[in-house]
Amino acid sequence: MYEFWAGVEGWSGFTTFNESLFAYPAVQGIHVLALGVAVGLLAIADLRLAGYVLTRHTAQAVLGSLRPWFIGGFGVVFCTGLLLFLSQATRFYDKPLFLAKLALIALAGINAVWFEVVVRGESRNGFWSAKTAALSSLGLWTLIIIFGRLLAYF
Amino acid sequence: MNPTLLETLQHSTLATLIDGSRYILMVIQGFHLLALVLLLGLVFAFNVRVQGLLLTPVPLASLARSLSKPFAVVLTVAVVAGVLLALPRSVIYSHNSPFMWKMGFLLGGALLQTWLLRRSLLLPADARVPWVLRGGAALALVLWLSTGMAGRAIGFV
Repeated sequence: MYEFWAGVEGWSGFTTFNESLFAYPAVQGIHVLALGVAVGLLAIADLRLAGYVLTRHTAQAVLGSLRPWFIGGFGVVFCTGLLLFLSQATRFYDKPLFLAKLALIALAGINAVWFEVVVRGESRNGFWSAKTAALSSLGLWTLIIIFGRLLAYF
Repeated sequence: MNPTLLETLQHSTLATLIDGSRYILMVIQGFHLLALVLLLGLVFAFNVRVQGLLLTPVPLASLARSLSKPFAVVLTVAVVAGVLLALPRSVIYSHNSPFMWKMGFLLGGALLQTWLLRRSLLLPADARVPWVLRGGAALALVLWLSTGMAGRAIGFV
């Protein structure tokens, strides 16, 4: 496994990227800013779904308006994150914290799909409600951000 | 800034406590980052709404009313956590260009954003958004994104 990721990391494009004085910090900066915008907008949508903000406006109106923007933001986060990972793959590929972060991202994705496909069309109450999906999303993204920050330490 | 004051801050009990524990540092960084994420989401949503590009069903005054308190809370958390993080590096950061740029962008962004939110509260629901608000919101967005980029650059200089 190590040889595979070392081979990917050793590609001349990634070596140039890693050694560049500006490219790596710039991409890392864009990654963090896009994460801020995407998760921040998603948090507003989640807080509306949970009934804490903008309650005078329908959840559909708020969510429908914010969705293209946070999906676009997550697109930028994914592309820059992939570039940052591939250029230093051997440093991260077997780190338990990195794998836990990926697992949480997958869970957040499943939660979003669950909400869009199952919950959104129905006025459910109780545990499997839009509020649960929204609070789960908030909790998962909080953990993802914290785990991402902790990668610098562990 | 006065070097003696910076040295006093850097060697204060609080700064020594923060610098001496990796875990305290991680917790403060976590709060700083989470507050920053929420702050970016709030200011992006508001300033892009001013341009009429998102949340158009929500009147601007209503959005400003809903976001004013969360903006003040997350800005305070981000600033307090940021001050605590900077304390053990007071002298070094006073010579770090990206840090000084970040402080300038942050101050400009915070003052302009506060004015924009207050000014928008007075706007009637069906009124056209004045050009001064649109221009101010575009500038505020640039200032906030520059704050983030300068913050990211601190560790690389």
